[in-house]
Amino acid sequence: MRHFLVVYNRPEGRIVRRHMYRSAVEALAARFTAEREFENEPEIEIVVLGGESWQAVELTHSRYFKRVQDLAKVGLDRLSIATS
Amino acid sequence: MPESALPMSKTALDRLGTRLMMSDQISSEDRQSLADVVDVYQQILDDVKSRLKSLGYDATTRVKTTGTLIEKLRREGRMRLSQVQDLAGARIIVPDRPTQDDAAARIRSHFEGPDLLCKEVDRRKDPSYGYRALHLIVNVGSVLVEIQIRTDLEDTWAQIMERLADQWGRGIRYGDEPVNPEALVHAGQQVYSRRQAVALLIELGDVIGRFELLRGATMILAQAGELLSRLGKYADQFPQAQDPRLISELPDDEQAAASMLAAGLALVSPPASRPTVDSRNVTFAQIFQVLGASLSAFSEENDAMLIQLGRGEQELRDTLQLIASATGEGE
Repeated sequence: MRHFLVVYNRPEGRIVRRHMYRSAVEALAARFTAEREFENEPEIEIVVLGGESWQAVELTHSRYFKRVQDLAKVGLDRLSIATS
Repeated sequence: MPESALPMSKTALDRLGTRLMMSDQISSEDRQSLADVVDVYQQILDDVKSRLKSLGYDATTRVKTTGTLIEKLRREGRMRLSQVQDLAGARIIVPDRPTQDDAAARIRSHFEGPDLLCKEVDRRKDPSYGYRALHLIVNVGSVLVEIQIRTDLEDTWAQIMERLADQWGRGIRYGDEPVNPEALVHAGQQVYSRRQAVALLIELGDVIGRFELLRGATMILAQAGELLSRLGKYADQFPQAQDPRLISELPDDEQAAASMLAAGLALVSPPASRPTVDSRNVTFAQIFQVLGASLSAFSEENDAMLIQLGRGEQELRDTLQLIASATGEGE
């Protein structure tokens, strides 16, 4: 079980910072440090995701990692698998 | 279950929520209090993740971000922090609706106890501005955890909506107009306003809902047919009309299939013909009769369902292609 800090700029759809932590305590400390750092930038979203790997969190929280067009392409792939 | 308990009373937690909601700047004391609460929620989420893994589900988790928590408290007006059901959340993605229903039943049975009931929020039957999923609110160590169970396509829809909301205004997730609603979006040869694009996305959610229901129904019908055929080999050995054996005496895999069908048939059958199958307590002959009747009831509708399914698939494909061909994200 690992914890992943993602600092994401919403309007730009861009990840500003990402880091993997082996302990939840460290990851949460990094979250609150980042919150103080970006406290005057409401467009910045700071989240800690728990999961097995980057691959796992990129699957369930793909909105941080993929553009709308690429999300739609993933949907098309999923549809093809569903109907094959 | 972890020993963790909230580091403050519910009243103190609610007061913290009120201060977060009311103030423009979070004080360092409140930030520390929130950090202490988040730490406990994270421990509980780690435990929930391990328990889901023991059931075979690879979940990811998150404690709500401070920004979205404050946004929610403000949006909901009178909501108390201790009542926020999705402060701690876990997410599972599954391929289809029958698997989603099965996951919900298994997770519910794992987390429920004599005095500990899970709350189910079925956003497939009651979508929230196009959002569909099945949510279970489980109570772990006096903390509520929301387990979101989404199908692949429901998740695709939700991620597209969230990503667009990041750029067009987060209110579009709750029915608000996008920022600059008349701004144009180019998709291939077609041009839409943002307002039209959001409407198209809501429509896509409806198509996904219909498609997955139909697809689930056809999958269950196919499984019912397969089970009937498997049960046939027992019928050769024992005349089914007289066979008094209970389904619970059948081999485990047949029992499991019968249990799944009992739940699944309720999904696809109209109320009048809905079989009441308690798979453990019916006889072999009865389940044969029930499955046979169900299949017969649906055989006429099956072709129509398959045609609708094909149309739904094409509609889905067209809309997703349109979104995929948009020339610039959130333009």
